[in-house]
Amino acid sequence: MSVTTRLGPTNYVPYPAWSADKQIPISYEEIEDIFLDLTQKFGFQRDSMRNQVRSVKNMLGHLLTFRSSLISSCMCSIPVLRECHLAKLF
Amino acid sequence: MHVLDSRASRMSPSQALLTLHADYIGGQHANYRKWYFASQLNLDDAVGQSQNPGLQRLKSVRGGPTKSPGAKSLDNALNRWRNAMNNMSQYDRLRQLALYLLCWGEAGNVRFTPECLCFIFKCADDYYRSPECQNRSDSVPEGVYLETVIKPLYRFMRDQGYEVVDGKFVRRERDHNQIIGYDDINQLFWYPEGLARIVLQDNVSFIN
Repeated sequence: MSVTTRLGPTNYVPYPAWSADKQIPISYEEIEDIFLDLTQKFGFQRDSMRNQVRSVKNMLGHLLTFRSSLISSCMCSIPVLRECHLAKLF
Repeated sequence: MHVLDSRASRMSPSQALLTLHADYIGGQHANYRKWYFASQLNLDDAVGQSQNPGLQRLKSVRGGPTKSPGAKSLDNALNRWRNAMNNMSQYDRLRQLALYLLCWGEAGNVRFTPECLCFIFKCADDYYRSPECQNRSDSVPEGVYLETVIKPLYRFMRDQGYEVVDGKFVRRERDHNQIIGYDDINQLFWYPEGLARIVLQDNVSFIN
């Protein structure tokens, strides 16, 4: 899959599961905007920023795609997670 | 059945972001959260205030309210933290995660002093939320973070162990106990009395 983002053209989209029909809390484009904003406010290097954008996308997609040991013991949706696991999480 | 189980135990996108933020910043096992409570708040109350007079000193320096001692204030602090993490918007979760990773990504050997890195992240996060940062329209040139934040720390660490002889870096003839190493630097950032010793270039205490 090839797309053009604000960070430039890319021919690889990690984990396409992170898409609007899955009720994502934040889109890949919004993620990139956040990174760009921070980079401009603090003077981070753009190559480093691109690396971190990719790694965040990878981590989110990975959690979405594969089983999680943290959640597997819970098997519940977010509201229930908040009730029963918040104390453990934070 | 196995397939059903596997599907149920997969995360929703919101959970993925929530747990990722918890891993790095807000969660029980996140180094940042540990640092936050060790250096900023009354964690020392858990072992008795008398063991940490520096904390009291810091409080009086800060002019903050003197709360009743004991585990109660720690409980309050923990609850405040949990509520803050729980109520944080998904946008802010990602923003904090991004900022931490950006600070970490260019940190070089400052990564060997993770508590110092926590301190850098805290300063950056506080600055980001300040009107000073939000009202600023021009962008900061690329490389400023590396030049002004990481490089001075890197040079300090390097000069502790190395000196220049005939244009080359050579190991200093210096005993371990004469060198300010990674662990010593970490220790400064781990305790409130260490943070209280940080002085800015114009001789103003950082904590103030």
